[in-house]
Amino acid sequence: MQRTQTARYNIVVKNRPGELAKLTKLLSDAGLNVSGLRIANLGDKSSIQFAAPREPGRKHGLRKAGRSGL
Amino acid sequence: MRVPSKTQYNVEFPTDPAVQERLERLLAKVKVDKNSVVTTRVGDRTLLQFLAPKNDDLRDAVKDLGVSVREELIFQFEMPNHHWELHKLATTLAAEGINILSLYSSVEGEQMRVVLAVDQPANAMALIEKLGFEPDYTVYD
Repeated sequence: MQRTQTARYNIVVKNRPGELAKLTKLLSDAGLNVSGLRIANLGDKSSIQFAAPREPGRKHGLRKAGRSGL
Repeated sequence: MRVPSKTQYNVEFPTDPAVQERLERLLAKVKVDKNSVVTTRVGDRTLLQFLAPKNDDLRDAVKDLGVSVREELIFQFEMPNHHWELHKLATTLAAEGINILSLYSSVEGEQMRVVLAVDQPANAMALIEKLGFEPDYTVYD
């Protein structure tokens, strides 16, 4: 049986309309469904957290987004 | 308009274990029926969020601790758990300039339950209905 690994991501973005849409574009292009999606705003920043399947070797920009934003 | 069943409390404070301990002690003391508790830290600020029935005494007691507390109107709906549905929702809200204040989601089978607070709730609910979902101010545990 093939096991699917899941990674948890935390991406900090600017607190303004449209930031989630940038992320969902990445997810949609990569064909990834997420679970445990949460968004919390703190001042001028917004934290987007979610879990998504982890597929080693596959590039979808999520790790980069986690480091430097969308 | 349907009456909201729960309010989202957002308590923001400097990242300091002593402040957090005082806050949690207070919440235990006033016996708030809270759920969906989430703590988020960004830089030197921490945000404690939870859902609870609206309670002005709770809000005032938290304010008395000297921390910032904000109450937000929330609503919930269910949608298929597919990335394209989520993208459609996000782009629809963004196109209208609607800002998401907070979002929780949980996946139940093929469905994703979303609890949402936005800066234009009535506008957002109308748009979400147009997408074919059924937003409601009644939020269940």
